[in-house]
Amino acid sequence: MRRLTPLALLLAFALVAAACGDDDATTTEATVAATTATTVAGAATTAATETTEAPPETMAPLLTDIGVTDDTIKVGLLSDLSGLFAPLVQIITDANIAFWDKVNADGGIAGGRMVELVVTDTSYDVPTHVQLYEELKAEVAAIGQSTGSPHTAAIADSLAEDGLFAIPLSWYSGWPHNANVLELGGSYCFESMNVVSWMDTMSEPGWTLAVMSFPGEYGQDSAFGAKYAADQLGVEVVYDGEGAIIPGGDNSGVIAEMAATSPDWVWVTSNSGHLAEIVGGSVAAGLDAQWSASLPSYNPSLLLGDLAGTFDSSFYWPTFFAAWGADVPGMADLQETIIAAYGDAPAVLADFYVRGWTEAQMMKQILEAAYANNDMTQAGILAAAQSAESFDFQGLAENQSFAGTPEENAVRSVSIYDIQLAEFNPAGLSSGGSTGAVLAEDFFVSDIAANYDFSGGACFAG
Amino acid sequence: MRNRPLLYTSYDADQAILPTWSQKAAVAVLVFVAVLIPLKALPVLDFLGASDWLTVLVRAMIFAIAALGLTLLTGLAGQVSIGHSFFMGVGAYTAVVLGGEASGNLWGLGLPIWIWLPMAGLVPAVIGILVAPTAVRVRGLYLAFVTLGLVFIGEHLFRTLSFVTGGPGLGREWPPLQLRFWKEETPLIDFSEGGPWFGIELSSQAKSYYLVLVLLIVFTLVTKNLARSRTGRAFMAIRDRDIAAEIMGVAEVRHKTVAFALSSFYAGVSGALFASFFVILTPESWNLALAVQMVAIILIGGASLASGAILGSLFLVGIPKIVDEVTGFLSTQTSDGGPFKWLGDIIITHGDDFGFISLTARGPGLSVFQLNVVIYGLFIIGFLIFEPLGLYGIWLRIRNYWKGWPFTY
Repeated sequence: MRRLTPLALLLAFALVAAACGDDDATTTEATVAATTATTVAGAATTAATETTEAPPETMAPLLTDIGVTDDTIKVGLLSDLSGLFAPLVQIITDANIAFWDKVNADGGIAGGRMVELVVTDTSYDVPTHVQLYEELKAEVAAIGQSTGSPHTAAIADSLAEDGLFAIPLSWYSGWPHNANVLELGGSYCFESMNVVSWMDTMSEPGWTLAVMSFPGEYGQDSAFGAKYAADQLGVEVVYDGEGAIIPGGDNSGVIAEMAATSPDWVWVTSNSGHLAEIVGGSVAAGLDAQWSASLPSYNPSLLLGDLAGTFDSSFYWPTFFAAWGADVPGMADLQETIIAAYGDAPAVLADFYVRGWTEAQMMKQILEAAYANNDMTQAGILAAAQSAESFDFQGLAENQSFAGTPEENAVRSVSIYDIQLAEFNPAGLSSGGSTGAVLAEDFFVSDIAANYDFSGGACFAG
Repeated sequence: MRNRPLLYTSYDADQAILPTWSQKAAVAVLVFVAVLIPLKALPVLDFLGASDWLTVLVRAMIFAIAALGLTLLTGLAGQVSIGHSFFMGVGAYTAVVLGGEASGNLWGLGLPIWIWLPMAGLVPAVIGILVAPTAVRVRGLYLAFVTLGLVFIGEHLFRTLSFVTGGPGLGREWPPLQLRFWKEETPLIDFSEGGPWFGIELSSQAKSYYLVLVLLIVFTLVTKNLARSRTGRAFMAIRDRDIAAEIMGVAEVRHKTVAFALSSFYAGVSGALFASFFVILTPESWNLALAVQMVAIILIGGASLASGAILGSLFLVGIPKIVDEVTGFLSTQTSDGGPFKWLGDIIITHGDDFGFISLTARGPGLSVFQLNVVIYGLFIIGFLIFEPLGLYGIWLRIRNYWKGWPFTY
C-alpha cells in the first residue's frame, strides 16, 4: 500500500493540471471527438438561399440507411485540429459548426431533421486519418471535410468501395478525375495559370518570372501551371525553383540564387513559414520584386511581423473563395452568424471562415437534393452529389458542377486580393477586425486556363 | 508429473518453446480467438470484428513484429536502440521502390510481393550490418546516441530523396497486399479488397488481419527459436557482460552485428506492411516519436521475449482507441442519462460545467487527443517506476499469487 501513495498523488496532480487547462478560445491544440449541434443564441434571421425546390409531397417513405434518422442527419469531418495545418483547419471547422448550428436553429433541413456534425481530429497523420474514416463510415451519411492531399488519397479507394464521397480540404488537380472526391474550388495549376496571366496584364512587356515551390503534388502542380502560362505568354522564367524549397530544410542557398536573377515577379508555392523565409531572404539580398503565392502559402498573420511592409506593397493573394468582408451577397449572413458564435476570435485568419461556410453550404445543398430524390441512403446522397449541376454560394465561391466530365467540371477561376496594411486590423471579429485583403480582381478565368486540355489527367502527374 | 510443471525429464522438454501443457493450451486458445475475431463469431468480443477495431488490431500486430525485432536487440542482446524507426522507413521505401508503380519522377519497379516483402527485410538488414561497426564499439547511452543519429539521418534523407519518398507532406502510394506470380492484372490472392473467401464475406481489413497474423506467428516462432539456440545464448551472454563473453569465446563483434542485422530485418518487414496497409505515408512518419513508441512498447510489454512485444503493442496501440470509446460513452451518458451519468458529469465538460476533459473545440480542460498523450506519458513513467517488468511482470505477480495461494505470503 505504501507504493500507492506516490501514484495517487501523481494522478491527482495530473487531474488538477488538466482542469486548470487552456482557456484560450483559439487554441490550436484543441480537438473534437464528437460535437452535437446546439442552438446558438442570437442566430441570424435571414435564411440561406436554396437551389433545389421544396421537398415534394410524397407518399413513399424516405429511403435511409446509415447516418439518417427521423430527427437527425450525421455529417462527418476529418479535420486536422492539432497537426500541421491546425490553425487554419480549426477556423474552417468552426465555420462548419456555426453554419449548421444556425441551420438547425432555423428548423433544420430535409423535413425538419437536425444536422449533427461528428468532428474528428486526424492530427495530419495518415494512419489516424484512415482509422477515423473507418469509424466514421459506419456512423455518418457523408464526409464534409477531409484534410490533406495524401490523407484523402489514402482513403480515395475506400470511398469508392464504400460508396461515400468526401469534400477534400486540398486543391490538387487530380481530384476532378476522381468520382468520390468532390473538390470545392479550383486546382493549383489553374490558380497559377490565372495569376501569371494577370501578372502579364500588370507588367511591361519583357517582364521576367521566378518560380519557387515545394516538391510533390502540391508544389509541382502549381509550378507547372505557372511555367505553362509563362511559356504560352512568351515570358522568360529566369529562375525555375520547382521542387527546390524543402520543408524544414535550409533553403538559403536557393533563395540567394533566385534573388540574384532579379525577377520582376515571383510565384511561390509553399506554406506561410517558408513564404516568409523566401520573401525575407530575398529582400535582405536586395531583391525588389512583386510577389504572389498559392492560397495555402499565405497567412495574414505575416502582417504582424517584420515583412509587413513588403507584403503591403508588393504581395497579391489568389483565392478560390471571397475574403472576409468582401462585397458579395452571402457575406452579411456569414459575418453575422460567425460574429455571434465567435465574436472574440481575432480576425487574422477570418478569411478561412468563408471556406468552412462554403463547405457546409455545399453539403447542405447535396443533402437537400438527396431528400428531393427521396433517397437519403449513403448511395443516394453520393448519387445526388455526383449529379449536382450547380451550387449557389451567394458569391462566396464560384458556382460549380460535378455532373459532367472533369474537363467540364474543373473550376478554372480564381479571384485576386491586394494585401493592404491600412486595411489590416488584428482586433477581434466583433470589434471590426479585418484581414487586409482588398479585392483586386473578382473571379475570372484567363484564356490560358480556359483553353487548357484537362482531359488527360492531373496537371502534374508525379 | 502433472503437478510439477518445472520438472523436465528430457533435453527436448527443457528446450521446448511451450514446455507446459497449460502454456500450450493457452497459446492454442489465443490463436483460436485471434482467428475468430474478424468473423465476429465470439459472444462478447464480436465488436472487435468491426473495421475500425480491426484496423487497430492490424496496426498493433504490425508494430508487434517490429517490437519483436527490438526485443531481440535490446532485451536479448542488450543493445540499446532508439533508431528502430529508421530501419522501418528503409524497409518501407525498399518495398515501394521494388513493388510500387513508377510515375512522374518516382521510382518503382512493380515487382510482386514475394520479392518486395523479403527485400524490405533484407535491405535494412544490410544497412544494419553497415551501421554495426560504429555501434559495436559503444554501449549504453552512447549507443543510444548513435542510433538516435540514424533517425535524424533518415529524416533528412527521406525528406530530400523525393524520387523515392514522394516528397515531404505528400508521400506516395505503396503497393497493396496482393499475391501475384509476376505483374499480372488480377492477383491470385488479394488482401486489400473486401470479398468472399471460402464462402465467408470478409472486409479488406479482415483479410489483411489474417495475413499479418500469420506473419506475426511465424516471426514469434523464429524469435523464440532463436532465443533457445546457440546464437540466442551468445546474445544473452553479451547482454550480461560483453567483455566476459568475449573472453569465454563468444565472438562479440560478430554477434552484435548479427543482432543489428536481425532486428533491422524485422523492422523493415514491419515498416513495409505498415505502409502498405495504410496505403500512403509521408516521409515525416518515420520519426523519433515512432522510435520512442517502439521502445515504449517493449518497456510496457515487459520482460518476456514474445509476450512482452505483443502485449505492449496491443496495449499502446489500443489505449487511444479505448480512451476515445470511453469518453464517447461517458459523453452520451451525460446527454442521454444512464447509470454512469455521475461519472460523465465529473469527467466531461461541455464548456460551461465542471469537468476535466472537453469534447468541444474550446473551453478549459484537456481535449481527448491531449488526454491520450498524457496517458501515454503517464504509463511510461508509471511502468518504469512501479513495474519495470512491464505488463508481463504484472502477469507474473498474478500468476505467482495464485500459484502459492492460499499461502501467498
